[in-house]
Amino acid sequence: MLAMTYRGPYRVRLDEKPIPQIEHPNDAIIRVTRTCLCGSDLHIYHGLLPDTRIGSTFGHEFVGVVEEVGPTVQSLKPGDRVGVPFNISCGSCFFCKKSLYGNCENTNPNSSIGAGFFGYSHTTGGYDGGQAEYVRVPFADVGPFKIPDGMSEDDAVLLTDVFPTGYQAAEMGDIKAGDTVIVFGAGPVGIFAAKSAWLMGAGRVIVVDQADYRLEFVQNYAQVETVNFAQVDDIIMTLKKMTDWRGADVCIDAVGAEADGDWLQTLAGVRMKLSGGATTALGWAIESCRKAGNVSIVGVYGPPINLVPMGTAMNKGLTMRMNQCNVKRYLPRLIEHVMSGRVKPSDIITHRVPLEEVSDAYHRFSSKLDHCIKTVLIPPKAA
Amino acid sequence: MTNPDFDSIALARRIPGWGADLRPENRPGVPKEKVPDNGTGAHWEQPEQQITSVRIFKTIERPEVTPVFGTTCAPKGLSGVMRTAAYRLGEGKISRWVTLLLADRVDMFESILLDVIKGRAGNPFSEMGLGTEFRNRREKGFMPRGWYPVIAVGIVGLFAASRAVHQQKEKKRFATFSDEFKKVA
Ligand SMILES: NC(=O)c1ccc[n+]([C@@H]2O[C@H](COP(=O)([O-])OP(=O)(O)OC[C@H]3O[C@@H](n4cnc5c(N)ncnc54)[C@H](O)[C@@H]3O)[C@@H](O)[C@H]2O)c1
Ligand SMILES: [Zn+2]
Ligand SMILES: [Zn+2]
Repeated sequence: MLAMTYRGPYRVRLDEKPIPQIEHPNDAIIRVTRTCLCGSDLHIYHGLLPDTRIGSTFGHEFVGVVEEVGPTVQSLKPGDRVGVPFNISCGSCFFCKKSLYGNCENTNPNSSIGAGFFGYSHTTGGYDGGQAEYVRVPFADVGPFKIPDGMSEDDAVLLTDVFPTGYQAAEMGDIKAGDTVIVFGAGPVGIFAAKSAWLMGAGRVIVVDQADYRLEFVQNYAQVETVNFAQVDDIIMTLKKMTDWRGADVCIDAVGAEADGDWLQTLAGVRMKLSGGATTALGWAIESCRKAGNVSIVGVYGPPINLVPMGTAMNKGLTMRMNQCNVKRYLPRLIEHVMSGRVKPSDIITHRVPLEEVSDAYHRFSSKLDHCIKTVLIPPKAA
Repeated sequence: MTNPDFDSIALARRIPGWGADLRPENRPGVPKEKVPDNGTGAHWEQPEQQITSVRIFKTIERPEVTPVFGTTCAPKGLSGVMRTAAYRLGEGKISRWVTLLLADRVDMFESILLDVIKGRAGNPFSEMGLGTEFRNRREKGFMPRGWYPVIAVGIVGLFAASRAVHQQKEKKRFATFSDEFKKVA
């Protein structure tokens, strides 16, 4: 089968690989029909996450058709149209029993920081991902959801990660009616965090980024105010002035390890890799939050240390919440939002390209060319 | 709430879905730890153990290999030796992560070598997707059009210069050759 493979930082290509096999009785093999590039893929594309092996296939956002199921699978059969949450969860461990699927302890032997994820290095379990014609899906009775009739695959594929992640980001901010919310990052995750902040009753939503085309998009898509941090002297002063000098009730970091805006952070965290990425946006979130406010983090950082203004956070009495998204628990409610038309996830897709063009697609997304926000790859058999 | 002009009715009119999940009961992640409403789909207490012949590393912060794991890209070569060493260290140790990161770079060079030996080396230009760079930069006009003639002249100039140097060298070689020839004759 055709599969994207990683060749080293900034280099990926399409290779021929064997079709995956059932390796555990509760596995399923899915024929992929849509798969996305994600901001998280950029961290591994840039070689920032330790134990990203050459030859591995990325891709944790995909939908497709069930091709084959293992002997103990009860809820799926060949031919079913399914979406698959990016985290692999067993459904029966200490964490899964608390609905914390992103923290499952039965799917990642390599590290205790998180659950197994599809196509996301050996630090998250060493699974091949969905940017291929076929993919092996473990615990097929737990993760996959059947795509409801009437829902497009383009909408469904955005339910496997970015919409739930943006939603959880807003939810972890514990938004109350009328709250002012600042979202750092106008990528797919930030866009859905902004949209979800309204669902939760925010009074004002401000989105910060430096890519004008993304800010323009989120203004229209989510009716928010925006600030381009590259065009103001001091972003924190600007945000404080916009929020009665007090700061926002809730600040959300939807940027993560490759944040721009502070050359020292970029040098130490991204170029020299002295820490797990640049925490510039997280720092700004802490600084521009009001005392006793909430900071919610979904931006991804590398292990094991980061430069964070913890003293400021402590003195201000902030509440900080963070996690990988527990996708599965959000699906029923978010499917309702999509089916009712309150949110149309597929509107953020800017590029639909054949899987064969994967190298170009990565570069375009990574360098923010051609007004790229979200790219969907389509394998040849699905076109 | 710090926003003094908050007007929920106006917002609800302006923003589709505003407030739909204002009530915590409508938020699927509240409270943080919650027994799943309709089960998780698991019909086991302890999942069956996956079996493999592929070498799997286990963090020392876990008692056993997990019931399920990925089997892609088994460790190999020098990078594999480095990874083996790294996985003997605890996850709080910076040296563990740095060794893994270095192993990733070694793996890259090993793979390039292997590709070359197998005659499968990819074209780094296309692997980096640089085609899209030139197409888009041109469309974006990052490089002002005015520069194109300058670049064209530059390329032609370089070509001409290298030819000239080459011809000069040939002439010299021919000259010395004919001198030698004359001597012999
Ligand atoms: N926790 C989870 O479960 C989860 C899931 C998916 C993605 N993520 C993470 O969320 C983050 C965003 O993902 P995405 O797909 O939207 O990525 P993306 O790369 O498309 O978007 C990031 C945006 O942040 C902007 N940015 C850079 N520096 C900034 C700064 N200092 N302040 C404000 N904006 C800045 C960039 O211009 C870009 O538009 C990534 O770190 C990703 O790994 C987390
Ligand atoms: Zn993702
Ligand atoms: Zn589990």
